[in-house]
Amino acid sequence: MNTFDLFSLKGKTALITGGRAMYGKGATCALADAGADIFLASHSLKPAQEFAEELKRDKGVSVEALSFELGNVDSIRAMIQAVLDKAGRIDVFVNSSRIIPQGDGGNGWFEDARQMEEGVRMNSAASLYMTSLVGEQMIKQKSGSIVTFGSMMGLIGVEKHNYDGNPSMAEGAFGHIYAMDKSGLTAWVRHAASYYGQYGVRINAVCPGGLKSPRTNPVFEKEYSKHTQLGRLANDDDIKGIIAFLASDASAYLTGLSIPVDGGYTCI
Amino acid sequence: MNILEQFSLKGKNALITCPEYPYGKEIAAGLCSAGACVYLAGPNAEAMNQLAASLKESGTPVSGCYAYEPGTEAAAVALADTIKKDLNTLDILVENSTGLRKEGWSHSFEDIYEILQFAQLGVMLTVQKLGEIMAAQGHGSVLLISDYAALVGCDPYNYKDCPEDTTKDFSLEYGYLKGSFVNYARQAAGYLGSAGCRCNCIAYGPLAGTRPEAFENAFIRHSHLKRLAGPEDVAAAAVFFASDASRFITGTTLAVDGGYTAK
Repeated sequence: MNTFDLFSLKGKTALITGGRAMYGKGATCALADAGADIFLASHSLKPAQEFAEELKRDKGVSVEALSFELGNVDSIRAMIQAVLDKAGRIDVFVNSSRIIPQGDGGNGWFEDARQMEEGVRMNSAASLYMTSLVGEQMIKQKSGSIVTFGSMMGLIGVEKHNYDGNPSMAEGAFGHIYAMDKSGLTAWVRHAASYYGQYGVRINAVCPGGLKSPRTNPVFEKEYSKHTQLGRLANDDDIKGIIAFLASDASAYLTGLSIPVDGGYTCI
Repeated sequence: MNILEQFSLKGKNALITCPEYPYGKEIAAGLCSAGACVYLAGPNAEAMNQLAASLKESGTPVSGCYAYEPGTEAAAVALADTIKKDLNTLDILVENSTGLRKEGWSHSFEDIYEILQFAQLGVMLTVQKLGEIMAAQGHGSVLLISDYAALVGCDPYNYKDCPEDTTKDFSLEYGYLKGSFVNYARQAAGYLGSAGCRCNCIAYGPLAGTRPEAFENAFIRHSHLKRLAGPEDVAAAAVFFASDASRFITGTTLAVDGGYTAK
């Protein structure tokens, strides 16, 4: 087969959760560019539908928006069932959904118990559950690729100098749940790869660094960029290549990996 | 100072959570024999008392036991208050709560959450609340006890001749929980470091005699040192991280597995 064709997702059904904003948006674009039939599951149905229409119009692919809530187990089951009812299979699952725990206002190391609890329930437990449900289907198919979002912050601790000039950001950097959850995911993709491998199912994680957004603090951007080897935050395109690669047969012999997509932040 | 004196834990208070889980007993005996006053805190009073009796019998008695059910803020605050009142200082915290495991891969959301509430939320709250005692006193060492699954996935071929054990280790949450300590140690080291306190993780290989013979033989086959861990191997690593001999080491994960993960 032509190497370039290995990256194609034509004829494959891809389910992406949280694929409407930030890194998830770039991931959905990558799946669309590769020609997948996409199910875009989001807690915000209307903006997801608008994004789906935009993709259909601009890229000529099939995209259907679905509603679900990480905090509602029934909605997770219903969302996966809806995909199976319509497509009969899931070839690619990209999990980029997470909630930002609100809690009662603690910050960083002093994150309050409710924030931690929300993070454990909705980001950790719900993600494991959702992935295991999709995994069950892929086991039946004896094929599939799962791509989950870890983070650079699951691979390393906090560089305090990134927050020079931003004392409130510095305080918030030492939170518990995000580091623990993303660290767990890094190990879990190895654990899950050794379980799913016998069924022909692959699982890998992408571990992105900081993404530039309109809300990025310019002083933080300057300090953080110094610690990347490419001298900048990530842009919206940076995630696309790795998603298309891991979702497709181009990575058919890769499983159990956590791949930093961080401009070289974690290499020093 | 004589280098051996740096390993001494004389005059130090150590608390071990969920000591009835793997490695708890060996760590308790090790810290005690290095001179620490060792306290146990766990939800299973009967198992904890049995363990305390067994440690007493072997000449390494613990100094006290506390009832503690990890997973809620109220329980973590109550434990921290009791420790402050009873001991005044806490020098060593050994977090050993991730031994809880449900076999198999297909778990309900409720089962997953119950395990994570105990072994993940519980760990964060314990480290946060007891870490504050250490931060206030300006010194302390936190040890997060994990195992080799933090560093590598389980090898299906290790279970070839003991298939009945496969579902024990291919438990949905297992690798996730064990691995969550690796970077949590770095994260906690960041905050605690400013206060002169340390946090490290130990990833142990299986203890000899605790698994089916077929599994043990398969594991040994893939290890460089051609044997499984003994009690002294477990104890020595814990004493090192607990003591001043490791005073410039923080945020690390030490593999104590005979080289199983070094390949």
